[in-house]
Amino acid sequence: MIGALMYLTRLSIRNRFALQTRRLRQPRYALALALGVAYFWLILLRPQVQPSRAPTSLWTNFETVAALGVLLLLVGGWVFSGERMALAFSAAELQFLFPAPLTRRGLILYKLFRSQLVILFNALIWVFVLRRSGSVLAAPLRFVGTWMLFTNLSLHRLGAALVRTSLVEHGRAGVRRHLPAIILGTAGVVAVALILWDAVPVIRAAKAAREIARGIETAADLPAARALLYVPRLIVAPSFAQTAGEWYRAAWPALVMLLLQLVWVVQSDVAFEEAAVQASMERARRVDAWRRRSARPKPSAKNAAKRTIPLAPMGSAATAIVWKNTLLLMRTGRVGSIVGLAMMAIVISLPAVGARGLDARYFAVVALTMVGLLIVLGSRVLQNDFRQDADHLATLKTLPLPGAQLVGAEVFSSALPISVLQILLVLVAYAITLGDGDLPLTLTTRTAVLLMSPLMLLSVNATTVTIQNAAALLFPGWIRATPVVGGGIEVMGQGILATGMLLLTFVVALLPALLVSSAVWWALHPMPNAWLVAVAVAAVVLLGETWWAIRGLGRRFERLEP
Amino acid sequence: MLGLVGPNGAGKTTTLRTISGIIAPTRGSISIAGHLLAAEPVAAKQRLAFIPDEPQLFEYLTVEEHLRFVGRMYGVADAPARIPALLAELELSEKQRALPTELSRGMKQKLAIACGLLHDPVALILDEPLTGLDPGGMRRMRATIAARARAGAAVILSSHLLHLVEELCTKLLVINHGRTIAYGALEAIVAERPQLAGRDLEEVFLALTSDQQ
Repeated sequence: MIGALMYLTRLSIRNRFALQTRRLRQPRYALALALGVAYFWLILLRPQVQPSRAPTSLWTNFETVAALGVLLLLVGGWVFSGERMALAFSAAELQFLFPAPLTRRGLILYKLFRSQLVILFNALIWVFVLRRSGSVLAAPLRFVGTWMLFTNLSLHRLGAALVRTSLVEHGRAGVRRHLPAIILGTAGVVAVALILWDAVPVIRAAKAAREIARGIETAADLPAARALLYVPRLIVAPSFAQTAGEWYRAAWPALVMLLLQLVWVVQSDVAFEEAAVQASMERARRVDAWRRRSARPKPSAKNAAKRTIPLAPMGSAATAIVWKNTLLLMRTGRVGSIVGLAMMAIVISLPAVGARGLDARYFAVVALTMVGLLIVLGSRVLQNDFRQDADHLATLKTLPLPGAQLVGAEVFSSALPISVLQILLVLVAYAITLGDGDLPLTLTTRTAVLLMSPLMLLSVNATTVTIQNAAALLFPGWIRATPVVGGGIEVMGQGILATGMLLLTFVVALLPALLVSSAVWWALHPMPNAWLVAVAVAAVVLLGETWWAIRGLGRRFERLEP
Repeated sequence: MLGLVGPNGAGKTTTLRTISGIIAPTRGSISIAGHLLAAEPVAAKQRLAFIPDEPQLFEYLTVEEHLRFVGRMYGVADAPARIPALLAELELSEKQRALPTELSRGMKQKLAIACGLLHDPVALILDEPLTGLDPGGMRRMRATIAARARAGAAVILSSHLLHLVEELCTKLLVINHGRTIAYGALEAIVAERPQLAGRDLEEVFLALTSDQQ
């Protein structure tokens, strides 16, 4: 049986590698790989300008923080129900391995073995990441130390998930069986609570970052904390050793911890199958949602589905596409992602906080910053268009709708909500600065901008959304609109390539509009507010370009095959 | 009613997808109710319904909203009146406010069929239409398909359920490796091949496709 599992693992790795290698025959994947490798080299492997430095304070001070982090992770395994995800298998593993004549221990060993592949890769990455951090320890020792740290954490997570499953399964009998682990876990939770109890007043009273750090160190130095951090310190110690001698001394206890946890996990004869099935289904759902960029309805969508928008049976068929996509917007987490942009806007606008504190002008700046962020990132965040519909390409192709109308409706589905949000924000900024006479723009100019904002914003948003959709329609292999099997470095390269290309296309699309509007401004500039006319002309030119692009994309859609 | 049969990989789904306008034919032309698909795609698709073997539903539209969407797409003026009747016919009335994630495989299939029937297509293309249905559902679906054919719709049905094809279809198209092996009424196909006399469709199918291989 072990032979079969090894065969499965070996062939999975080989075939995945072969798939990625075969894809490199296509220039787009080869270019993407080159970009991905270049990115990795720049971030991780680029030769250092300075020779290795002496140990920095990072390595001497960070060990306590790392131990605290490890402690929280260990305790988290007992506290958070989400940690049952440690028991998740892939859908194929579930189908083939669970009914197979395989013992529970065999399944656990297989799970541990597969997790090692990920851990080894992660340890390798961390060795490269940390080589710039000032550590002077030899890379192989750093690698082994990081591997032991990750393996210890992985084993504990799996062990805790098994114990939790057993408790749910067996009740009191389960408690008796796992009493030592439960006592240790509970003691950990109680001790963390005690440490926090002592540390929080010090941290709250702190007025500077240095005082906060001192507060944490003081709390970590309490007898209870020292006892509690003993095991986490053992686990992280090899990763923070600065000399080979220190490392060898630290490695043995960490290795002993690893072996003890391995015995604990392997000896756990827990009927984990049902929990594993649930965890696997949940993982599959999360992976699917991530791949489809949250286009899946949230559980709350079942209630939201009771609220709908009326749709007359007769009228433009393209409206039905916009209607459908608007319902998607209402029922998925897409709108929530706008909150992230709002947070960015609040932070970016902080320099605008004047001596008067958070006054109305600050909120106007936040609103206008948000408008700017939506121009740049709105079409990336709110993919309420063909990109989320790409999975339904076959269905869309059977609809009695010309390609250009369908693509136009898809583009409008994203551009419209972004523009409405921006117009509201402009309106807010205008309203709260109505009485402010100390602004660089006069009230008349501000009113003119407000009145023109629908045209300006809609044209820019239609352009950016069209570019995003064009990428998905023209280069489906470059822009990941649909899930890709077997990702790798070239997938990251694809992302870099796509972002660069889209930005460049937007700049190119702006050029005709800028040229025409410049000419208009030059001709009219003796007139007051001639720039407003020039901006309006630029918006019209952009809309014209977008209309032309949508017509072309419609023809492309009609030829596209799923 | 034309039954499209062939072994796995014969090209049945590709043929149906081509007829539906999802993929373009490499040669030849497709005409739906007198409208060339290549020249008048909108008019041709207006008269067509394709029901795939794997229902492709919008995850965020309810059962009823799917039908409203289709109604608007195909300009079905009396859609609001027809939807309840169609939902009742396909036993989906209780699920009209449910999202596809709340439906079983069979119910999803029924919804896909309901979407295909709402606009009374003159050409109904069904790829494995009974997949996932329970025996009762299969019987009712057979009756629904037959009723549409009696009402004048042309039906092309692909299925591995040969007894269903034999029961429903007036003509057969047997394909393998993308090529026609036999076409016509079962009796005519058998008459051309005396060695198949007295055999049912399953035996005829196996004999025809094994000859090919």
